[in-house]
Amino acid sequence: MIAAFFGAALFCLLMAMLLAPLEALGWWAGWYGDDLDEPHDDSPAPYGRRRDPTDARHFVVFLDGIAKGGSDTFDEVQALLDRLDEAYPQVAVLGDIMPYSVTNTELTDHRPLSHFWRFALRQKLDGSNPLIGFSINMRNVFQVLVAADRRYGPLYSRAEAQVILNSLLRSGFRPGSGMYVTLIGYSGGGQIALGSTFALKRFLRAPISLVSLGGVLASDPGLEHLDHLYRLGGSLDPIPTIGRLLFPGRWPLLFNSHWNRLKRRRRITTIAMGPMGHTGPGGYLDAESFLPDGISFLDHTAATIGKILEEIDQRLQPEPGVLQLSEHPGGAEAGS
Amino acid sequence: MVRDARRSRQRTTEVIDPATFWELVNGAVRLRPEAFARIEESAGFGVALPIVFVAGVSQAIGQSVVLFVNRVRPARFVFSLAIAALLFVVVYALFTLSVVLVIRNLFGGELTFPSAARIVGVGFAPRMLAFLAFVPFFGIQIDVLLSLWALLTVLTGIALVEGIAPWQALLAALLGGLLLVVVQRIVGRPLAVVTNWLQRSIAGRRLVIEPAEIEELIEAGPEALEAAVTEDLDRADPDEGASPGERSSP
Repeated sequence: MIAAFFGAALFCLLMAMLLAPLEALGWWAGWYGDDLDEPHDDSPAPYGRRRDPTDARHFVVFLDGIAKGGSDTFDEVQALLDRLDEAYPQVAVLGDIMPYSVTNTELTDHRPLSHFWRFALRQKLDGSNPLIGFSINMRNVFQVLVAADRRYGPLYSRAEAQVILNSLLRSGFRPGSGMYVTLIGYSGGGQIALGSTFALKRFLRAPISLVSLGGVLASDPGLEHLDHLYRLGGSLDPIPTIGRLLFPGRWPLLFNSHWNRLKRRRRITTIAMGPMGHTGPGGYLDAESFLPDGISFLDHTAATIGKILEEIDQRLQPEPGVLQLSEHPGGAEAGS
Repeated sequence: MVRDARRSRQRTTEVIDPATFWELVNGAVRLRPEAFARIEESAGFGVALPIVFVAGVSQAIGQSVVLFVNRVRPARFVFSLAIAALLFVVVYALFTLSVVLVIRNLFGGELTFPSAARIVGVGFAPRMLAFLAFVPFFGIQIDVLLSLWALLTVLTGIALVEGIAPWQALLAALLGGLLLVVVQRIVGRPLAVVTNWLQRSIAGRRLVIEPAEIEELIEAGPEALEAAVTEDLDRADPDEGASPGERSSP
C-alpha cells in the first residue's frame, strides 16, 4: 500500500516534470493559436497597477515566489508592496505578474487543470492539506527549472520579458527615455527575473537592476545585461544555498562563468538579513517576528529594499543640467 | 564462455513473449552474462529491433525541443518523431556493421552481422528511457548517463559474445563509431541530402539546428523565425514545404 502510494507519487512527479516545458514550448511553437504568438494585454491574470506612475522615472516590478497560484497577492507580499509604495512615492511599484506562466495565466483559471489548482490553492490558504497545497509550489519549481534550462530557458525568458514589458508599458514606462527598472524576484521569481533581462534590456533600452530576495539564481546569460544584482539572504534561509550548489556556473571553480565574471566586476552585492527564514513565520515578510532592535522582519526587509532603491536612484538619476537624449536608444545606458 | 555456448548450441527461433522480453532486457541492462547468452542464441531480432525502435522514438521525444523551436505543427511533429526513430534504426544498422568490420579485421574475430545486431540492439535498451532528456534542467545529465549506460551494455555484450577483453570491445566500438563518421563524411553526402530532405518534408520547413542560429532567432521572436524559414523554403523550392495556409501566417 505504502509502496503503491510512493510509486504513484513518483509517477505523478515525473509526469509533472516532463510536462513542465510544454507551456513555454507550445507558446513558442504557436500550438495555442496564432493570437498567442506573443503574450498580450488580454492575458487573464490582471496586471497590477499600484498607483498612478506618470511622474515616476524608477519602475519596480515584483515577481512573487513559487507559492503564487492565482492573480491575488498574498497578504504579506501585499504588505511589502504597500510599504514600498508608501515610502517611495517617486517609484512606481508594479505587482501581480504571474512569473510562472509565459502567457501570464494564473493557475486557477483558463487552464485544463484549473479546477485542481483552485482546490489546491484553497487547501494552501486554509492549511487543511499542506501536501496538496504544496503541489502549487512544486509546479512552479519545475517552471523555474525550465527557465534555468539552457534549452528551454531562452524561450521562457523571451516570453517573460514580454509579460514584464507589457506591464511596464501599461504603467507609463517609455523605453529609451531615461527611465529605469528594478526587478524584485522573491524566491524562484529571482531566476525568472534574471532570465528575462537579456530580452528586456533590448526592449527597454534602460538600466535594469535585480533585487533577489532569498532567490534561487543560476549563472544565467541575463547577468551580462544587469546593471547591478543585490542578493538578500537570511541566515536561516537554505534556499539561496540550494541555488549555489545546484548550478555549476555558481561554483568558484568555473572562473569564467557569467556569475563569476559579474562578481569580479563588483556588480553583485550580498546583504545579510539576519536570522530570517525563507517564508511563513520567521520569514522575510513576517510582521510578527522581530529583530533584537525591535523592528519586524517585514519592516526590515522593506527598509533594506528601500535603501537599495534609493542607491539605484542616486546612481542613475541624471545630474542637474545634463542634457537628456530622451528618445535616443543609447541615452539610457549612461548610468549602466 | 558465451562464445563457446554459441558454438555448441543450436540457435532457437523462439517467439519472444512480453515477459521473456522484459526479462532479457532487465538482464542485459544489469550486464548479466546469461541474458546476453540467451539473446545471442536466438536466431531472430524479436528483442533487438523493438528495443532499437522504441529507443529511437524515445530519443526523438527527448530531443524534440528542436521541433518546438522550429515551430513544427502538431501533426507534422508526430511524423517527425517517427522519421527520427527510423533514422535512428538506420544509424544503428550502420554502427553495427562498422563494429563487425573492426572486430573481424582488427581482432580476427568471427562476429557476424546478425549476432552483432542482436547484441548492439539490446545494448541500446537504456536508451529506451531517453525521453527523460525532456525533463527540465536535469534532462541533459540524465541523457549523458543513459548514453554511458548503453555504451557499457554494448561493450559488455560484445566482450562476452566474442570472448574479447573489455578494452578490445571499447576499441571496437570507438573505431566503429569513427569508421561510421568517416564513411558519412566521404560517401555520406547523398545520405545527408536525403535525410535533410526527408526531415524538411515531414516537418514542413527547414529545421534550424545550429545553436547560434537558434539563439538569434529566439532573440528576434517567433515571427522572425516564421519569416526566415518561409523565405528559405521559397528560395529552395517555391512548390515544396509549407502548406499555403502556413505560408500566409506571419
